[in-house]
Amino acid sequence: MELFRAHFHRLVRYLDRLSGDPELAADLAQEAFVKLYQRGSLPDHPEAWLITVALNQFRNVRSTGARRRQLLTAARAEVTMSDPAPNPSQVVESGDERDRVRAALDRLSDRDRRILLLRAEGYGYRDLAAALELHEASMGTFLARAKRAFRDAYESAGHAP
Amino acid sequence: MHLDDERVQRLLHGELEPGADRRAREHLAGCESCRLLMVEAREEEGRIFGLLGRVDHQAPEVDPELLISAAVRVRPRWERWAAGFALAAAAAGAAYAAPGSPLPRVLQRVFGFAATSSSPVAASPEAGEAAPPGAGIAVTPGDRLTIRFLIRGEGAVATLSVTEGIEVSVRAVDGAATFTSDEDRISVHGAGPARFEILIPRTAPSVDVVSDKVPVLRKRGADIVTGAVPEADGRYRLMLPPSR
Repeated sequence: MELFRAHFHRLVRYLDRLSGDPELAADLAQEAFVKLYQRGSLPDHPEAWLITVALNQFRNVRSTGARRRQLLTAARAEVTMSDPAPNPSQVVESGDERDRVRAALDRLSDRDRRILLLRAEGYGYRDLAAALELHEASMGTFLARAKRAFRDAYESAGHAP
Repeated sequence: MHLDDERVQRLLHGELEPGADRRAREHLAGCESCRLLMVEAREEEGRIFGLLGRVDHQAPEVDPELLISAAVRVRPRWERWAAGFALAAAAAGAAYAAPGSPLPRVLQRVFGFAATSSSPVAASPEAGEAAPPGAGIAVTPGDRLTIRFLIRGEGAVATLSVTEGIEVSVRAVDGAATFTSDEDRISVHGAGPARFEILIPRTAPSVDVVSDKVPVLRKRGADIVTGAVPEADGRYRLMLPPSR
């Protein structure tokens, strides 16, 4: 229960940012927790285990559900994180910004995107390395590259027609 | 030696070993360019992480107890899927019924199938309440298994498929039914004209399907004996005579 309270929402947020699909993110996070409870014992690194399971599920969904994702991508223009009752110009600005961030994320390599989003949720280097099967000693370098890649992609997305 | 990317990031995130951390801080105290580098790295991270929040959606409210109850009630062998699901759904109550609640969808994905009704199941089928259409039961077959239908009224049918899976499952596709099981038997109480779907693993050694006391299909190893002719897709359409 403590594990759930500590990690569920950040796992959902990570998957939401990764997929751009909040429903899918909630499903994947819940599936990962259900599998954890069904496992019967805690793995050595529960957080990394949850991420790995969720990412594997995400991979499966993505490989079999490309069409569904496209449809959801088109439909995710809803404003859900704005402050209450924003004025119309704020909505436009917020929507543009969101699209630009989304576009920048979509331009990153899988590795850069996952590292960046996991670190943004506060996951430690050991969990990042375990979940993404990367060398922990180079995690700082990977992160620095991912940030640069995002910054470049974000600036480039701002100039896109 | 100036700080490289690795040490800048680790310093930023408190990921340096104590000795390396001390040396890096000593270097920073005397190196203005590295101090500037650290400031820029911190500011850049703040900007980027702030931007990432722009794509967030509202997080769903999920009660961990409901999720756990759903998970622990479904176990790998001789599970009472319908009962487990029904109990979990009954416990879920408002959460299950709430518009947009992701719980039923997750149960369906994780556990293979689940009730498709948008209303919560009031009680376990074992308590005598009928599970809604879509609910069912799945078990791992032992040496032998009998699936017995007790149907009130005419017109009930079941489609049976032999699968590469490991579990026998029986599901009400249309019409409510009650499912119970013991070690070598699944009992299904329903009313015609209900429709059921039966999946039997190819590896199941001995499975009998009966409606009341009337044999409908018998599987022994790879051999299947039934009065029904397999359809083009290999499934058998079984008529389930009513109980007397």
